[in-house]
Amino acid sequence: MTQRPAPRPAPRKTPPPALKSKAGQPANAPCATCQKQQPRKVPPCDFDKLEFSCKHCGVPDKREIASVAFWLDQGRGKIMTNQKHSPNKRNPAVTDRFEVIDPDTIKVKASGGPGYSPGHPALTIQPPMSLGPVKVLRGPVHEVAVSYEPNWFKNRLANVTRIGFFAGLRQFFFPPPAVWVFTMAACGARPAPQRKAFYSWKHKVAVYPPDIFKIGLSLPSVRKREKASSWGKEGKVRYDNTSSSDTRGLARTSQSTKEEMRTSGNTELYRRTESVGNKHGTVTQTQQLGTIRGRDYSSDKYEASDAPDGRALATAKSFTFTRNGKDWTQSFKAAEFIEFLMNLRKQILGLIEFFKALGNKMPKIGWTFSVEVEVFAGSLEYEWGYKEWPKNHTVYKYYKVEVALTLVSAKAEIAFGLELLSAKAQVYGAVTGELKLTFSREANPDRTGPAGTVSVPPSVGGEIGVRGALGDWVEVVGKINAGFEGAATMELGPFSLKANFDLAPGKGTFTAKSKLFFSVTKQATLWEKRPIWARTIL
Amino acid sequence: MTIPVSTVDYLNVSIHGYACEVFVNRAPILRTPVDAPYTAIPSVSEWLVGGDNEIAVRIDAIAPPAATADPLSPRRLIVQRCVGPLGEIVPAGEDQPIDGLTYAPAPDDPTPTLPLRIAYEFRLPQGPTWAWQTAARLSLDAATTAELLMFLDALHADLVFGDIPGLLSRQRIKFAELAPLYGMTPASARAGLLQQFTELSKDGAWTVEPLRPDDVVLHLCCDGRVVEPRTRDDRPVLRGQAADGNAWSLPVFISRVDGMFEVVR
Ligand SMILES: [Zn+2]
Ligand SMILES: [Zn+2]
Ligand SMILES: [Zn+2]
Repeated sequence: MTQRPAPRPAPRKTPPPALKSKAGQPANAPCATCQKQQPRKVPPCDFDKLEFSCKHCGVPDKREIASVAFWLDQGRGKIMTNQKHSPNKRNPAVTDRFEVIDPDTIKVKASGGPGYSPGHPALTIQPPMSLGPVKVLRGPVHEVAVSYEPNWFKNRLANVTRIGFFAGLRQFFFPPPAVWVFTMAACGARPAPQRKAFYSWKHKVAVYPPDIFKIGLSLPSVRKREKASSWGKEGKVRYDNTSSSDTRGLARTSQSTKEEMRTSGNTELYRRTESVGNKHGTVTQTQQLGTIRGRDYSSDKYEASDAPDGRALATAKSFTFTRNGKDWTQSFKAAEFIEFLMNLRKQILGLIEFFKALGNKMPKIGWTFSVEVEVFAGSLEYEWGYKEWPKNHTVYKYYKVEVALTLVSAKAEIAFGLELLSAKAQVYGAVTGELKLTFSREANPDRTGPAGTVSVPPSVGGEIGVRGALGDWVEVVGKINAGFEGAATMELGPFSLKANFDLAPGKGTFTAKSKLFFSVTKQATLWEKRPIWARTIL
Repeated sequence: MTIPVSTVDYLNVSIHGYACEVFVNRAPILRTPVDAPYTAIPSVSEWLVGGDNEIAVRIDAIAPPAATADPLSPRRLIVQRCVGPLGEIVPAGEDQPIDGLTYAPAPDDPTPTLPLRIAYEFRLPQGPTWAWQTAARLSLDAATTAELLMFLDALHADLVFGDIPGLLSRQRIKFAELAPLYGMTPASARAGLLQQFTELSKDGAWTVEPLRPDDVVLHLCCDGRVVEPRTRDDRPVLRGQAADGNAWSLPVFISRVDGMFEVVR
């Protein structure tokens, strides 16, 4: 029960005027009798109780409540209500509106009270702007058809091309309701000694779209590996730079690789073009690596095949979008999503440049790096829409998710030289990190537990070692802290998938164990933190 | 003109999941933690002798099996004897092992009784005879212990007062035997130590941890001919802070040679 002070008798908003009296006088113009009397005597006109219900109220397996009622408690001088609230403390109590799914019929019923002036009580219905003009209905009981924006789906679908894949998709994640304002009003005049009046009650009806949507992602495992190495020997001019890529595991696809090498004077340019795709289209990755006057240059870019809408077709099977069971996938440029994923992958492959910069600080020791990445392998099915909650007057965000998705699986193998404790040393080893979401869950509005958020840290592995030149030696005190860090967070109502994934700084405490001198123990940073991702993916 | 490449004997140690101590001819070389991977390439020429040699590992603790195996950081116990060029970096994975030991019990093997000692022997052609090989066998009775603590106290005093000549006089054998192994002459090594001390103690910012006899554990090794003092938590007894904020330490191995205690390693 909520307690709400009854509206004070004055000042009052004017209710819709009472109808003309039989005497033919305008409703608001006092007659001669009234003008003589001070104060004017108003005929009793008020109700005791107001009830809101939709067509599902009291229907088995639909809504357990018969109605939401508000009534005037003369003794307490308050308006009381039977509104029920969610047992989940995280769900805010909905007190100002009745929530339904389009299409529905709202029954408003006023009862009790001392009677009404002619044409009272009056129900004023203010639909959302796009759904028609304000209407006034007279009498104590009304049934009003309410709806959501018609054509809302097609209108938004038409936006997709313009606003792009992500914003286009997000439009359908639990759009806001159409809010109808219902105001039931009487004069609020009661015979003495009743001092409190109900007078007027404004309540909103929030209408939600009925659609159940589903997106599916089913992405093959594609591991991408990049390798670079440079081994130089002191006193020798010749350096050997190599780079290779190999892609494995993409089912039912062709793959081609083209390599070019140009040499002129002390400039070498290496160009490798790799195409991966299936019969519908291809995605091409081009990598360039050059050695110009002993320095490395590289670039990386992605291109679409020329086949019309090739990538959309190629990825149509990877991404699906349905509304009420009907497939609308073709309305989305899923290629944009795939491109986005490839960019995520590229951001991780960019680690190789980060490491190369480290390795080039002491080129005489030589370096070798490989970064192997898989992004978005596995499957995700997410179904969502609004549903009326059977236990009260609210609508809840229904969702059902089944996910077995590796957001990222990365492995970096490194070996490079640096100066550690005033001596040359080699850092070597491999680190792995994997962000994986595997669970299934369905919205349960009765649940009192935590909100629909799932967050997982990466599982990490590998190890990094350090060795100095032979003679005095380096001992690692404890463990070298290195590897990947971050989290994958999935929100379920509405859906969002966020990930952050970084290369943690390589840090450790090292002792240079001297054979003849003092040994020295020092903390050292082998490399600084390298942020890779911090973003919303969907 | 060819410059003879001097080589050094070293161990390629790669251990994970075992708390161990690694020995060469019963001299302790290093200890590994049970809960972190350990890799190192300590040089050990000064502990190898002509004739029969032994490399041993004492396992003191075994980590419980990991919930998920990490193929890039597996449980292992590998100690390989290698030879490589002095002063050069041998990239990881390019060590040339001569021999070595590996402990890899089968998953269904019974848990061994700890400590477990694993060792192997190998023969080297005749080489130098080190002072520690013929040093007096010690027993850590009260008198010897007191005498060793007095010797440590003298070393400690040299460090406190920055008396490097005094410190060097007690390390005569170590410098004479090790300098040639590590590409120096005893004189250049002494000069190098003095220069390093000058840097570490710049502006008088050199501190020495107090010597606490109750925290000194004397480890008798090499069949009683060598003693290594360590703290209870296996740190060098002689240690402190240097001017640059880093920690310095001076691990020592002591033998009684011709009746006198000397730092031999
Ligand atoms: Zn009148
Ligand atoms: Zn309903
Ligand atoms: Zn009225």
